[in-house]
Amino acid sequence: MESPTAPEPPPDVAAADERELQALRAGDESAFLALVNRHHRAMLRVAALYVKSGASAEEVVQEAWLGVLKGLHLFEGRSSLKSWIFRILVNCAKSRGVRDARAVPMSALEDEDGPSVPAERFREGDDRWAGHWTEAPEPWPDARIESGEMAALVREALETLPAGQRTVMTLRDVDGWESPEVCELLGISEGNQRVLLHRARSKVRGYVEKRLAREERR
Amino acid sequence: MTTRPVPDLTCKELVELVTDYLEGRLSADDRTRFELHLTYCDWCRTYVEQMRQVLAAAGELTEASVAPEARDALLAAFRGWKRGGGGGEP
Amino acid sequence: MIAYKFLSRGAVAPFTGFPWPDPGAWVSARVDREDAWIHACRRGDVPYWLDEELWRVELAGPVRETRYQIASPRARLVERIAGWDPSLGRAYAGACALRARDLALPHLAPALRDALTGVADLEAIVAAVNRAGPPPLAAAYVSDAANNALHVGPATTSYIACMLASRLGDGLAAFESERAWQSRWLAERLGLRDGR
Repeated sequence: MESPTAPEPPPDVAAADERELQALRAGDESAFLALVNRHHRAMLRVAALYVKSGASAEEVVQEAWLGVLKGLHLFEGRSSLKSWIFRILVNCAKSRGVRDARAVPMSALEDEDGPSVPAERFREGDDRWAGHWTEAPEPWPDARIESGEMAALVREALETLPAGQRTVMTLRDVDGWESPEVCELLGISEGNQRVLLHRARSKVRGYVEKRLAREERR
Repeated sequence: MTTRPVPDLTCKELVELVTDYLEGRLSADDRTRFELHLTYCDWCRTYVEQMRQVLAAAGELTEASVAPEARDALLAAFRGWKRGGGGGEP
Repeated sequence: MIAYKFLSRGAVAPFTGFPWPDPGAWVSARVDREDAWIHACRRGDVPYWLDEELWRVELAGPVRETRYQIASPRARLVERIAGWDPSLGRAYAGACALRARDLALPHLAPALRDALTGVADLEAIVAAVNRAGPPPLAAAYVSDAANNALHVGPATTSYIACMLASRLGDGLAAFESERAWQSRWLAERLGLRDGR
């Protein structure tokens, strides 16, 4: 399956890619390790969407990096380096996925329905304020926000999410990927992406709320 | 088509639109409805603010570094590739 | 064009968090990005957008008018309207709560109607509504409005009055009529005009 055409990288990205390519082609090991460090965890997460086991995902990513090295002399900069690397990864993952009997499209991983905040948080039916909060969100204490503890709670919360939601939110909100990049990588529409992102963010906020409330009560 | 009885929306509707709002993806009308509601509803203002705090915290997370065995295997592959002339076969 | 704009404390835009510069300094948005244009209120829009600070603003450039607000790519603060302060806010909330009572009266059973007619004290209104068990719908909104005027603030109270008007009347049109009453109340006391 042909992925949709990747957008031309903006000039600053193209320039950074060019520098990186030159370093790699010159055999600069620290440049290679920096590149690996930047993308490896995200590649594992994406690979895991397609293959059965953690071990398989590691193998897929290793295979992908070998593919990157093999293809480096052919890379022309028509897409960003990142985009190209992840396309190789997805191709490896999909081939492996077929062998592992798990060629499941992304959309099938997402079988959730219903509101992203539990219905009981809102007044219902005949209530004259139907649709308004029953149990409203309490502002989180400044001390807890400023302590850096929020980041740890968000990390925990991400681990509780279904794979598709976790991947989209991590790519967008942790790794800073742009929406079109995520859509292109995962082969999903903008609308799909937003639904996954919305559910993920809603759940993460809910998790943080629950944890902060529990700890305030102690 | 019946019009709504109020110009804004309910809290329950708002929370489903928060992501679209923060992404700048609401239509002009929906954005107005959203903001009309926030004007008087402190609870929803808190909710949106919390969503922003979650995103800020997420942005602070850094990726854990690559496992040593994986890194070593990749370094070996890179060295092999260099030795092969840095072309099509590592 | 002269118009009005509510800001949060410290002249900060309530939704974007944009910190407005001192009066006189122009702020510009890209003309081709209408979603980023600066919003403001005509006199009739003011009740929809209450916040802590009310400012008189000047809009330059094209003005796009929508149902509840106007927008322009270029604006500056002219002056803070000092008359909009917590004290006026409380008075306004009280006035809205009494309006809610007035709107409800024709729809109430005689006993409750008598108990609420001419009562100016908000606590007394709450007590009267809730004296004999769960109140009927219109009276419940009256109690909500009075409680919000006492304990919460003008934004919620004024909304409740409009919600009641909407329920008793023909929906959105009735809501907007009540907002028009609120706009006149505020305009008289704050010297607000529709200006060009």
